[in-house]
Amino acid sequence: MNRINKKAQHEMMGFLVIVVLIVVIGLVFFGFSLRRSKNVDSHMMQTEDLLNAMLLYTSDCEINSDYLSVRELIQKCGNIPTKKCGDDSLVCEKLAETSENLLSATIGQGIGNIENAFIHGYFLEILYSNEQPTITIEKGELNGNYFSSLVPIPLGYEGEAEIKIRAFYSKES
Amino acid sequence: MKKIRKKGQFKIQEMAFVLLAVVLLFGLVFLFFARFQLGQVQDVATKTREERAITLVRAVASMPELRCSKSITRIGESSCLDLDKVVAFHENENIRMNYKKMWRSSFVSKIAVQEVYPPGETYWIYKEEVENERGYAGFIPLCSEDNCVIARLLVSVKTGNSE
Repeated sequence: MNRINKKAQHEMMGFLVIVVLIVVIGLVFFGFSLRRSKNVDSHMMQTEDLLNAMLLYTSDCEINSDYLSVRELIQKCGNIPTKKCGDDSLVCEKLAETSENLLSATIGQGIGNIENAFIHGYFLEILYSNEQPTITIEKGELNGNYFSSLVPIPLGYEGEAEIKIRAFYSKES
Repeated sequence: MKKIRKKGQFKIQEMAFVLLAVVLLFGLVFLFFARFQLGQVQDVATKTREERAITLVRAVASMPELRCSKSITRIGESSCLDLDKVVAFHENENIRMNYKKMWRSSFVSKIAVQEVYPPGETYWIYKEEVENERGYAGFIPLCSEDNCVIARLLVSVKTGNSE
């Protein structure tokens, strides 16, 4: 009877060892799978860089034989919204058109094919502290996680403007 | 008596097989662990180089040899590249070679400036052919005397197996 008991104990110990080994190996695999995370830092910096680059971009709005940058267009649109460019279009219209084309050609390239695009949607807003209406540009799917970047632009006596971008990168909300 | 001895031999054999199996199992686990650790070390090395590439994009953009002067931007100090300086690097191999040592010590394999809006030329600041590299790009204004376009500053760094 004693011998049978000992054999059963041995069997149980063996079984326990196998279970422990399987659990340890399983935990190692589990830990390994958790470590695979997406690197989003570089894309966040790209969005910030783009906003700063955008402000220096020279538009085709010519006033007094001088081509205005996007920053200058924002300031002109906030201070003198009735001001017209050389081609007779309003500065605010030119600002919206330039911003839309610029974003479409840079981060908006992949939006036609959403499955392959890391940034699958963006939202740009130019806000004024005075009565000037807000300019908004959006494209793609505006859901999930996003990077956000904001640059304030002084308008002199007329208050302040803000240019804000949100780039959506993950569809899981 | 013979029967007991045979049973004893059988038990020893069984124990030997069990020990062999345990050693093999632990050997496999150790191999897997070693491989996993090696992979992690390589990942960390690649990530560190990638982070360095991101930092380098900023560093390259602020180099006096490439950065645009205050007079160009009209708003004073700003992060942009001077087209004339970039073209000088692109066209003159001697200038590029002067910086070779510096780029090599930072594991940099390529630096390029690509006009994206409006689309245009690609200018090479440094170029070295390597098998494995990873790139990072940041947007930056590329300015001449009276005009700024949007460019992409690309920096590639050598990864693990290319050394």
